[in-house]
Amino acid sequence: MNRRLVGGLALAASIALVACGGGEKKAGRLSWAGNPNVFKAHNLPTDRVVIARVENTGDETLHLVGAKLVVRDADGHPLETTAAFSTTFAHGLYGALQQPTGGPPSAELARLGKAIYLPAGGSVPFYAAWRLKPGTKEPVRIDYGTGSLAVPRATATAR
Amino acid sequence: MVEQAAFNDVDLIEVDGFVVKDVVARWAQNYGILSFTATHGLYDHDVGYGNGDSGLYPGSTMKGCATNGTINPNVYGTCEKAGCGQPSIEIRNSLSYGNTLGYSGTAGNSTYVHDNKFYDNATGLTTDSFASGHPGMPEECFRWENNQIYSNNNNVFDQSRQKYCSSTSFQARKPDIVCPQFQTAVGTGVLIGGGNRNQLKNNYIYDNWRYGYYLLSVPASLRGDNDPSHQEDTSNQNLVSGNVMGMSPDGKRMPNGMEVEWDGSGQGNCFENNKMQSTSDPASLPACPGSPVYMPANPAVLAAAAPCTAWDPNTQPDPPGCDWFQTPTKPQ
Repeated sequence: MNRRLVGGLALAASIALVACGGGEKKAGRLSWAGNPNVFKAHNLPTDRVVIARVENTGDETLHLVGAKLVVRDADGHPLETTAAFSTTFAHGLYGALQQPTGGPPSAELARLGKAIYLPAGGSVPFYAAWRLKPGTKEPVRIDYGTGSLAVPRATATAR
Repeated sequence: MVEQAAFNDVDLIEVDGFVVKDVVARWAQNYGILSFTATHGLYDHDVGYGNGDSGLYPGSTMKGCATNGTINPNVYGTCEKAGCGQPSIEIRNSLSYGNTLGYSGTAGNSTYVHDNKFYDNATGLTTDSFASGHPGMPEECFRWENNQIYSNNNNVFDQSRQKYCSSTSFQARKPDIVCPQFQTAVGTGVLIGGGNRNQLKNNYIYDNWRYGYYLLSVPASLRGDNDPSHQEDTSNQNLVSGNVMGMSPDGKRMPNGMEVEWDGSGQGNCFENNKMQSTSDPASLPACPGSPVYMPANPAVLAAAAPCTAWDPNTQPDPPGCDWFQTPTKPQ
């Protein structure tokens, strides 16, 4: 089993559906809330950034971990990605070289938008950034495990 | 001389009344001289260099309207109606260079920072409202005057440095190699991450190859405050006045990459009587008193900064979408 497949399965497993039961409910599903703003990165010709709001249009709460989101090109190939449920720069409480054993606590991850619970009907700010490779086919999609978001091509450059 | 502390060289916590004078603080893993939840303090003729975070750090300082002790500094928004009051911490006649940050201070309220030099750091000075658990949020009411803030282009984030830092314990590192603890925009003079009623006046700000002055808003949720009425409570009423930008005190033209980069967010932010050599974003900066209503942030500016949140020297030393860790081209 290759690493990509393992990663994909792990991603799917990580999107925990915190549900109250009931077979008629739709699983949590992400959609854009309004139009996403897609940019070519400042001074980085192969990098792209989307700034947007996303909403959970399903019936069940989504547990979303930014580090497990993957941007995939038009052929499904994964690209180097970062993502969080925030559109503002911020840094953590702990120095980069003095992180607590086991990583930051969940409240810290939630504050920074790195791991959140998004209830049905809720929306949050969101960014994702990715790095194109030679031969990458656009448009890309943001794979969140149980679904994906289609990303328009970049039309402007970030400042 | 104080040096090589595993955390901070000089560490003042919950002190009411102090003087740190003629102290040289270098090569700490984090801060050279730090005061936290302290007030009525003076840093005078100090030097901070080679520190992993900042050379000088006055954080969670008491708000100026509370320095007579009558107002609980932890009460939300204490000074908004009362005005800025008296300085809580004064920093003067000091040097801070060769650090990741020359000066930093989360919730660094009512600091009076004057007649200092901040140079050869990645970023000269920064203050912010985005770390949770810091009393005195949101930051407000600094007065930074008559400083020289220049040549802050020291790239402590190059890939070989980051690899060394993440693979070498503090005890085993060469003491004069700065290992950054937090990310910042290399080539920036002043970075404000969510502040209010601050006054940046009559400084020389030059030869910072990215931005002279960088102003970003920070929603309260990023400090763990999810009150809906607080989400637009930063980046309001900041004044930038009388600064000479892009020129040294002896009159030599030494431009910043851009004089001002601002996400456009907030209410009452304004610029007056500054001498500028290069461009700004937005190209036209508002004169005082600035916008009477709260303006939203420009997504194009957010897009350049948000991906930098992902920086981690162990797992993500070069996050996609973030150019902060590249040394900017020297502006002509």
